Amino acid sequence: MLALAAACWLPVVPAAADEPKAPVLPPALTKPAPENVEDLRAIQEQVKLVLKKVMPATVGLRIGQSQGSGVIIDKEGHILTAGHVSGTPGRDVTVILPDGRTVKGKTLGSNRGIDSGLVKITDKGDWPCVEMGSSAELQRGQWCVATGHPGGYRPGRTPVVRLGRILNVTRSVIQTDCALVGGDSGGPLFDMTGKVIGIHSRIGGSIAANMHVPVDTYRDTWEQLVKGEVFGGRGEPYLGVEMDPESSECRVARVLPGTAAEKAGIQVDDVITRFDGQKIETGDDLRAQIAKKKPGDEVTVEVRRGDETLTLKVTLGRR
Amino acid sequence: MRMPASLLIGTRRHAWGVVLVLAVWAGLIASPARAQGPATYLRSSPKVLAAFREVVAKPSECTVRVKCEGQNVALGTVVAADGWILTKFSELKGTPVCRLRDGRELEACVVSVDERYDLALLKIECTGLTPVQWYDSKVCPVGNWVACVGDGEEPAAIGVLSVAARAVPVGRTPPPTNPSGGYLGVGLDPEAEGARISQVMPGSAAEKAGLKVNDIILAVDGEEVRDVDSLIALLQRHKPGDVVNLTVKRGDQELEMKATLGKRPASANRADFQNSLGSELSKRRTGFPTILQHDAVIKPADCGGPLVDLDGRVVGINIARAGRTESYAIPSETVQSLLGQLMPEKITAPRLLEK
Repeated sequence: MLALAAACWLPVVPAAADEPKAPVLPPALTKPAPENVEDLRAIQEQVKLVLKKVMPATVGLRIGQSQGSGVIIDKEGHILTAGHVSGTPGRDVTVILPDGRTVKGKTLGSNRGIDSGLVKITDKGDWPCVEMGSSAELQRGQWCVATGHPGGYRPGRTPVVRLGRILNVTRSVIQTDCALVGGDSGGPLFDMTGKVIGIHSRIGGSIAANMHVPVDTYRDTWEQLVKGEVFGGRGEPYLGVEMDPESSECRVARVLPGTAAEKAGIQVDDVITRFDGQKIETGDDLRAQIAKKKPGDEVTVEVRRGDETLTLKVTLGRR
Repeated sequence: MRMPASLLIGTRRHAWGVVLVLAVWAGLIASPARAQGPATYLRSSPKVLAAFREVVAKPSECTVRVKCEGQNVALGTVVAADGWILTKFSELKGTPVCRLRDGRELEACVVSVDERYDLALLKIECTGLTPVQWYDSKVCPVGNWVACVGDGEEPAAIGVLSVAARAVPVGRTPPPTNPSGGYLGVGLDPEAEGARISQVMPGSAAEKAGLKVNDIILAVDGEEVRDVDSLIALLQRHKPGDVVNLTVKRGDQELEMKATLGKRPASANRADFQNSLGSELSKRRTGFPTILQHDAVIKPADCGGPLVDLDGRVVGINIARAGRTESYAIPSETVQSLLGQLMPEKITAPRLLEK
C-alpha cells in the first residue's frame, strides 16, 4: 500500500549522481506495521544501510550565536538547512563535520514562508554528501530516519539518530514522530533508501508533532536559494488561517489572531469554497489563489458554515 | 484540542534581553492531536509494540516492579538469583517494595548506592530469581532497535539506539555568551511585523513592567524598534538593573512603560522548555558519567529496568528520560564494573558476555 519515494526519484537540480535503478525495499518496510521479529530485523538492516550513507553528511552549523544542523547534498558543499537557521544571506558559517572538524561556509538564500535555507561550504574539499529524494510521493506510515544535533553540536557525540514514521504530508510540511528539539533545526530527514526527504523545522507540544520542510521545495526554488535571495514569508499576502490537513475540503482549523481572516469574521470549521470568485477545493487551491494577490487587496471569500453559505469581505494582510 | 503553536527549533544562546520562545508558526500545519488519530502510523503503535513481545519475553524474567508508598516509582533489574536488584536510586523514598513476576510483593532494603550513576542496589529475601545476563553494549550498534523491558508482556517503550556508549564530561554546561546581559523576558512572534510579544515570562522584568501578549514594542529609550533584531540590539546594550523606557503599542493605544531589566534565569532557557514538551522527564536526568542514548519515549517510572536489543540481550539499564529526543541507559559494561563496588564481597558479580 505504501508507494516508496525511491520509485519516483526526480532529478536533483545540483548535478545528481546517476540513479541506476530504484532500490527495492524489503516488504517489511511497506507493511502497515511490522508483524514479528523478522520484520523488525528487516527494518533494522535497512536503517543500518541508511546510516552508513547519511551519517558523514550530517553537519552542525554555527552562525553567529545560533546553532543548528544541516546536510551536505553535493560534493561542492551545498548544505540544506532551515531558513530560520541560515537567516540573512552572506553570513559566516562554521560547519562542524561529524568527526568534529570545522570548515568555513556562507549562508545563501532562504524562504521565510516554508522555512527552507541554504548554506555553502567555502573551504576547498571533496565533501561527503547524500542525494536529495522526493517529498511529493511520500505516504503516511512510511518509515524514516532523522539525524541532527539536538541541543547543538556536542564534542564526542555523533549525530543523534531517530527512527519514526511519516504521519502527514502536504506540499509545505511533513510531519513525523521522529522527535526533534532545539539545535536539530536544519537537520535531515531520510527515506529508507538514504535520500533526504525533509529538513527539520519546528515542533508542537506533542511528541509526534515534528515538522520538516519538504525537500521538493529546495529543488523548486534552487536558483533563488543559490543566488542568496530571501523570499516568501514576510511581505507576502496573508489571510491568516490554518487548514485542517485531515479534511478533504478547505476547512479552517485555526484563525490566527489579528489577521485578515479574523477581521473578516472567518471562523474555525468554516469551509472555504470560493476565493475572489475562484472555486476552492483544497488548502493548496486556496494558497495558490492567495499567492496571486497583494497585501491590501480586497477580495470576497465564500464560506460554508453549517448549512449557511456566507460571503465575507477580506482585506489581505502581510505575512 | 488543537495545538495552537509550533516552535522553531534552532538553538540560540544570546545574552540579549529577549528570549525567542514560542515562535507561532502561521501556515498549514498538521494538528498533532488529529495526526495521532490514525494511531496505526505511529512508530510505537500497539501493533509495533506487539511485534516486540518475543524480544522482551526472556529479559522480562529478570525485571521487577519497584514501588514506594504504594506508587510505581521504577523498575528493577535482578542481578543475582538470591534477591539482589538494581534500580534507579533517586526515585526511591521510604521502604521500597519489589513486585516479582509471580505477583509476590517483598520489602527491600537499600544495600548500597552509586550517586553518580543514580543506581541503588536492593536486597529482598528471596531465592531462585532469574538474574540478568549482561552483554557489552557494542553488540547493539547505532540505529539498531532497542526495547525497554517493562513489567508486562510488551515493552514499556521501544526505539533505536541514537548514540553509542560515551563518556559525558560531568558538570559541563554551556557558558552563557554574555552572562551580564540584561533580560526583559518576552517571547516574540517572528511572523509579525515589528516586535510583537507572543509570550511574557512569569516573574520577568517584562511582566513587572506590565507588558502583555500582543503588545508591540515600538521604541527603547526613544530609539525606534523596527523588528525583532533591532529590539535585541537595543536591549543588548544594557545590564541587569538598568531601567529602560519602552514605547509600546497596545491595540490603538500608545503607552510609555519603564522596565527594570533582570538577570536571565536558567529556566528561561528555551532548550529546557522544548525538552519538556511531549513527555514527562526524570527528575534526575543529568550527571551520569557514561551513557547509552536512545530515542524510546520511556516514562520516568519505567527507568531501572533492562534495555535490550532485538535478540533480547541486555545492553544497559535505563536510567533517565532526559529530554524530548533522548533517553539514557547505563551501558552493561559500566553497570558490570559498578557492581563490583556495589555488591558485598561475598557476592560474585555476574559475568559480562561478549556475544
